[in-house]
Amino acid sequence: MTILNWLRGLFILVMVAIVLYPVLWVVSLAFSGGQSLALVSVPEGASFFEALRALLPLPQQWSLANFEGLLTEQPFGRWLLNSLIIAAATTIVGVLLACSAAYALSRFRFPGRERGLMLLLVSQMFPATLMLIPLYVIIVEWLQLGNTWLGLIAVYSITALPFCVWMLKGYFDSLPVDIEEAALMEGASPVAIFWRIALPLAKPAIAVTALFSFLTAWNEFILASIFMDEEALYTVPVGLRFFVSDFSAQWGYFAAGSVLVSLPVVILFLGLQRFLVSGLSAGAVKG
Amino acid sequence: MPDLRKYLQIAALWLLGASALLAGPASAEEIRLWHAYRGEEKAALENLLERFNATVGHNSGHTVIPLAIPFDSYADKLSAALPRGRGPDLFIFAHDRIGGWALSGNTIAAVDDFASAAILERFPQPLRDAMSFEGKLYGLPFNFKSVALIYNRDLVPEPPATAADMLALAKRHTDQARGHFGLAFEYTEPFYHGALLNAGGGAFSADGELQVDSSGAVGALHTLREWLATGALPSEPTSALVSGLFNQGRAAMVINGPWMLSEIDPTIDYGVAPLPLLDNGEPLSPWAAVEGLFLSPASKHPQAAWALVEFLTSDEAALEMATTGKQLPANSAAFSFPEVQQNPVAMAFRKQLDTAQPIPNLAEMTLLWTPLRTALQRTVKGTATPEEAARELQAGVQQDIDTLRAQQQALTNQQNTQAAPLWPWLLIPAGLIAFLLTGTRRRRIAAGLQEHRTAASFVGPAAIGMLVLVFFPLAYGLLLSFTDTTMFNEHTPLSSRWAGLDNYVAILSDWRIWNESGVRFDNFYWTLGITIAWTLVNLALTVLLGLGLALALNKPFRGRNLVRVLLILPWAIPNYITALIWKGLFHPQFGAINQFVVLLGGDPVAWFDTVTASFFTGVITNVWLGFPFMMLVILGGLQTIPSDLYEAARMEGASRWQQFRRITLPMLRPTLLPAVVMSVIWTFNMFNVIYLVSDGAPAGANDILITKAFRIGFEKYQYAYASAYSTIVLLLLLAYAIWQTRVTRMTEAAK
Amino acid sequence: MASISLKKIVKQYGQQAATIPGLDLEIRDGEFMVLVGPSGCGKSTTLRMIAGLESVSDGELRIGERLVNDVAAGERNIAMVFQSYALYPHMTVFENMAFGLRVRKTPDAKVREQVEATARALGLEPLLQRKPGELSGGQRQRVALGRALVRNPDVFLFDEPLSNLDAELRTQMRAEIARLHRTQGTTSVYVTHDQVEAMTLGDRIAIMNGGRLMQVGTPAELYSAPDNTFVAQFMGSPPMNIFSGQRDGTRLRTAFFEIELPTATAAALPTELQVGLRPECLSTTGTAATLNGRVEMIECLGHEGLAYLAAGDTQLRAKLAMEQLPQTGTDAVLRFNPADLYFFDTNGERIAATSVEPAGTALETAGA
Repeated sequence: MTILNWLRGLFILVMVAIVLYPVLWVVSLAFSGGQSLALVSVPEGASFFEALRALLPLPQQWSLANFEGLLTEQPFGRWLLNSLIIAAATTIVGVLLACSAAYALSRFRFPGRERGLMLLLVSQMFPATLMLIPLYVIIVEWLQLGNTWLGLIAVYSITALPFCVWMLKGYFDSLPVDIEEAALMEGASPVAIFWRIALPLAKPAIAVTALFSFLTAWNEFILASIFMDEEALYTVPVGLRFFVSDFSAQWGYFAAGSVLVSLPVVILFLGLQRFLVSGLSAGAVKG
Repeated sequence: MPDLRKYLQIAALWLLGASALLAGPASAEEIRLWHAYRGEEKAALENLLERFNATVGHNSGHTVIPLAIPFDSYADKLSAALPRGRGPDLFIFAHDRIGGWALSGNTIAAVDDFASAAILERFPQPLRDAMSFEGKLYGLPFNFKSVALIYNRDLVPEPPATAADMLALAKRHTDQARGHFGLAFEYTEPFYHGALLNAGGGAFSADGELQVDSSGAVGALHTLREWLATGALPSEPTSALVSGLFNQGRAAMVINGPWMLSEIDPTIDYGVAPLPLLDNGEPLSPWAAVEGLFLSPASKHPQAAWALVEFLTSDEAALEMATTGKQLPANSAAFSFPEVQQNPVAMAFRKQLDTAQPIPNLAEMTLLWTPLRTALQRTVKGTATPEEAARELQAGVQQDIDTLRAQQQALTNQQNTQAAPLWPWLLIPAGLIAFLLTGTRRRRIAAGLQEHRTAASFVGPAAIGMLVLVFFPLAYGLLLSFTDTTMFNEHTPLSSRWAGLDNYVAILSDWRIWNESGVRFDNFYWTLGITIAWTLVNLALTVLLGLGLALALNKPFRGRNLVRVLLILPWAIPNYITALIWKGLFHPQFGAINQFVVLLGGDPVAWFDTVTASFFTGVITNVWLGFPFMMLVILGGLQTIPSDLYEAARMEGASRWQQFRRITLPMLRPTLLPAVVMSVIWTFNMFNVIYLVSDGAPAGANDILITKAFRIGFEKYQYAYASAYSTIVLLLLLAYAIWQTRVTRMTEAAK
Repeated sequence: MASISLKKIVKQYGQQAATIPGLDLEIRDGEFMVLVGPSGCGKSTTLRMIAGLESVSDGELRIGERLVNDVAAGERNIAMVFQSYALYPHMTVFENMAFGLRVRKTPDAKVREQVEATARALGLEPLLQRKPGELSGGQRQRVALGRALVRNPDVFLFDEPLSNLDAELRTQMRAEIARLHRTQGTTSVYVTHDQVEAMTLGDRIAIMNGGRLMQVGTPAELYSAPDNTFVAQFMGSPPMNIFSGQRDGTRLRTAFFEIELPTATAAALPTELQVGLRPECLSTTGTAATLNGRVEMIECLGHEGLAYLAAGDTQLRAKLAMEQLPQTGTDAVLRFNPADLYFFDTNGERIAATSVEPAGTALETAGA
């Protein structure tokens, strides 16, 4: 028993170390003030422990220069705000659409339901890079939504849909039907049941899908830079990519930006973590 | 119903309002300029534009609105906007795409009518040539860039005059054990190989024929091998490695361009000199990349835009770009200003231009880059002799060129400058709707409309959105796969591009998996095999690791919540940067992983040299990124297993293993199955990890289908062929999903 | 207040054979009707059709005078208590009870008044601000009842509401439900598989099996005059003993006994039949007929006990006073009144009008 517990502890420790190591490189690069990407130099004639020390992702000197450069050279704060607004709106729209569609797919029997479910999966199977031009045509030429947040929000919330609907449908399937039947008996309309009974009960799954929609919008780069024709409208990932050009890259700035960009996400994960476990899995399980 | 509608209306209004506030209408008198500058160069450009707006622009009533675009998406943005008559009036871009753009006919405008002889006098002849294609001038050069020798003055007081001197010097400053090297540059990058290749006669002959197997070109490969044989150059050179080594004083000399200067550590005293002469007295002749100023054929103010071009290439502007922007202006006058003449670095790069050659701007050139990189890697790693590598390179690229030229030939008769309309594609989603409705109509009537109306109002918004923004583009991609669309005939009518099943036949009937020098890594079946192996190995490892961690975390202990949060970090950080960090960790000489291996007494592994090792760099990165999802899913699944099952099993004397085998695993199945299906689909199409970590190394062996499709589409411009590849991916995954069990049964445990 | 009328009600899923092939049932205004039967007999489906949660495939379903086949569940003014209680887990007890009223846009003051009145009646007042997760099983059951009561519906439906409670609570809640029905007098339909609940609660009981109605009647009618062996065995605990018998002229022969039948009775009976005898109709005293069997097992229930008798392959249970219980392994002789015998044909249908007058001469059974 105790040996097993020891092994378990060791396993967890090793995994935490493996997970943290590259992350710490990002952090260390961000705070190093320099620009070189994860290169290790073991000093000559170093003892085992000195060598080990050199392998730890600690910058030689601590400096906020990368953060300063990042925030002063570009309107990074502005972009951060843009991203926040777009990601928040994407989350709201995406979750609303996903919830209502998933609820219908779970609770109502209607023609095309099963084929619809299959199509959701199919949509995940085609590489996104080839959809660039048609998306440009639809959003910019037909809908005239180029250079607006609305265009991006529409694309992001829809592209996040298949996964969200898939998740949520599984979760709704796992909720006991009789609670909704009770509400039905009491004269509540399907819409009222959806809003007042089903949605509050699906909170964990909604948290997961919200997170997923948020991440989709938060990290996307190529569409944002193609649709937007004003620097003031760019999102953070677009801003970050300025530090990577054809011949050279300012990895230090990039890492500092990544740290800033990851912070809200990590905070979101922290806040939602109690929902993550149940929200992700309960979907598949019947009570 | 009113509830939902009300909410949606509010949301829509709010969004509309918010976006309307920020997107003002474009004024008619604007000249829009796109560029990919940042930092000092951007500041210099903006200074100039301000000056223009206050003077020339002010007089003619025009204002320049600049837009900076990240390099990574710049080309995509241009090729989305320009052929559709959108985009800028004027843009700054490297000159090497001129050929392709000129041939496709609707991306850049010829400027012969605007450019007076006096203005052309501003530029050295090679730079003027760089901007011409098939006898027409397509823009004016703005700045140029080429590599030169950058040396650490503390180690190398005087730059070497000949290659032999350079190597001797480099050898003296090399101490592999301490990680010191005499010379570093990205010798497997075609752009850097240009110095050697051009000294041997260049990639294309004077009349534009490919000649990468000429004796000169083969000689260039031999020379590179000789250089490497000295041991004075580090392996797996990347730009980060080169500048990193130089900054740490561990590279005495590097061959690099002016873009590196801003990254050099202020403590390093460096100098710049033109590249040395070869043993035969010929100079090394690097490629020069010229940033040109191009006019859009759709510009409504070409005159005003041209006035801006003239202004930006003026002597005054050249001085600003050279001083504030730290650029090398194409206007020769820049180098006669005392401010610039006193700058030895700028003058050294200017001097290098005398022996440099602009990158050929032929459309064919774009087909050469990736195969040349592969050939360089093979030569360097010794998996092919220079002769073999050159022969294969010539044969492979020549074939692509022939395809391209045949198509251009067919096109010469029907030039048409507007992109073909996309609306006929709408027929496809319409067909899709019809498909969804037929066959069930009978049942629909019988079951009564009431319930379906409710269902429709719930599903409707999402379905319409998906139809327009997912299935329409998807259908477009599918249809594209039945054509022979490339960058050059994109604008012609669909019927003229129709190719039926040709692409599929070409892909699927290519059974030549082996040739005399081994596996042909660009064969579909090899890539398919790699993709399947990639997916299976990733899936197995993420599930195993996720399961192990979930089991370990399922019992409470102190700090469990903290551990759980730490373990999902890989999911929270943008994978673009973590993938690149992993690439750095795998570097054979300076990556932390090999350092650990050495520390523990092992030999360093050449991670990107063999198919297997390179395969695992991708796998390890992807598992690192992917296991948190599995872990959370399984953790949730574990919590739904009633504990009395285990108690019952213990009463019956089941061992821990038996409990795991007979209770845990079967009870996890329903949770795992959908996660596995999703995971398979995602892993199958995991573009970023492959592209950023191993990049298919060695020689494309580890490309998966989607990265291969990307290369075909965006490196060879064969859009249709790439579409066919993607469609095959879709069909394979669809077959898998159907096989794995019917979708509905998967999510709805049987009632 | 309303009666419920089911006429030729059919329930069919897809193309399969009908789950309920045609059901006729009249539930009177104010009546407490219990639907009882083994699991899968269609009782829950019937209840859900009345509720409007399942569509009616064919036939006519009326509540009061109104044909409700196509009326949505929420518009039938019916309240239902679910087996799982189906309380809204995210709402407090107050909100749970108020939900139905609020959906109907009842003014807030009225909602408060009604909820509080109902809560008072059920003793729920101290729980109003709690959530269902914080309540015990019995309390939840009470809230579910309160939620149904508060709307003052025309009909109450109960779907096995007590099956998740322990024995004591169940008895208590059963009494509560009975009391509620007495005071409110609302038409109620109650589904259960427990015959004790059925007997104690029902004004009338409808026994179902395999989607068909076996018999409808008051508890007393069902006990004393079962229409068939199914009903006979379903009502009563332990169930009625049924064994085969042969009539030879006026003599009735079974594995346990042989008696002389009155001629009129004998004439009505076929030669092959099934004989029923309730365990509680056997004793060791009295002057009536006797039966013999080997005692295989004894079960003590306190003041009385069960004796398991066997004759050949046939078994029989007798409910006897403790002091009358025979020893296991012995041959026992028990007495019964032939008037207590029930006769069924081989299909299990009761043979009408067949009671046995005391024949006077009880014949010794032919030795086992």
